[in-house]
Amino acid sequence: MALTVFVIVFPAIVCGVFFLILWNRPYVFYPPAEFSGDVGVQAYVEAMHYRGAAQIPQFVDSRTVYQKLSTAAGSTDTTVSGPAVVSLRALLTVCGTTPDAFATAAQLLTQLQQVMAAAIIDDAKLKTLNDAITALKLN
Amino acid sequence: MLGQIPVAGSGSMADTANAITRNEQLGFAQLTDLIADPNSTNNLATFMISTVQFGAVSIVPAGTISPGTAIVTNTNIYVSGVKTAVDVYHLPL
Repeated sequence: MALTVFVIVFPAIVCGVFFLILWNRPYVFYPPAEFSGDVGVQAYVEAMHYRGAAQIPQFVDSRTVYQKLSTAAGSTDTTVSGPAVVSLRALLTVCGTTPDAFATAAQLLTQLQQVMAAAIIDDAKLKTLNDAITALKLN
Repeated sequence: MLGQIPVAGSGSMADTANAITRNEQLGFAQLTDLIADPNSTNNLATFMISTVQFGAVSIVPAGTISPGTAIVTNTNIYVSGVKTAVDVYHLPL
């Protein structure tokens, strides 16, 4: 009985894991030689990464928050720039980046740009970014 | 990412627009051209660096009236694996 269950269930698990990888990370099935030509591997990975159109508002929201923080952080009015820098630090921290204690607003904005760039090909990082924006009520 | 990057030609117009919008918004880039890759059934999107935020990208069949600003008109790209003439717009923010 146990052997029968194993014989039926094991191939199903192996098949399930295969399709799970195929769906989420199809690029791992290709050897480096197949990513040839003038275009880099990362660009090919991006091209293979299927995404639904429903994500568009998330991208626009993330960028809008960046623009708002950038404008506010650059203000000469410290009652505007101060909270913006605090928000930038909080956002970066929630996204897993530890900002330097003495980092300037410009340096924090550069770090946020890097966090956003990493989210171009990583849905998990995009979700973390958007969750942080929502949690910190920045949008 | 900047420069010329491939975008899957198997997706719908909305999927392609989604991929381009993601690059523009999160990568601080601006789409300047979109063409079919002559060597595959993917598309090639050209981006330049930009600090200006644009609205989402919209791809519609060529000749369709759309809100926003036209980026590329009457360009042939792969949509669901088939070469199709499309117009590409930046929707208003």
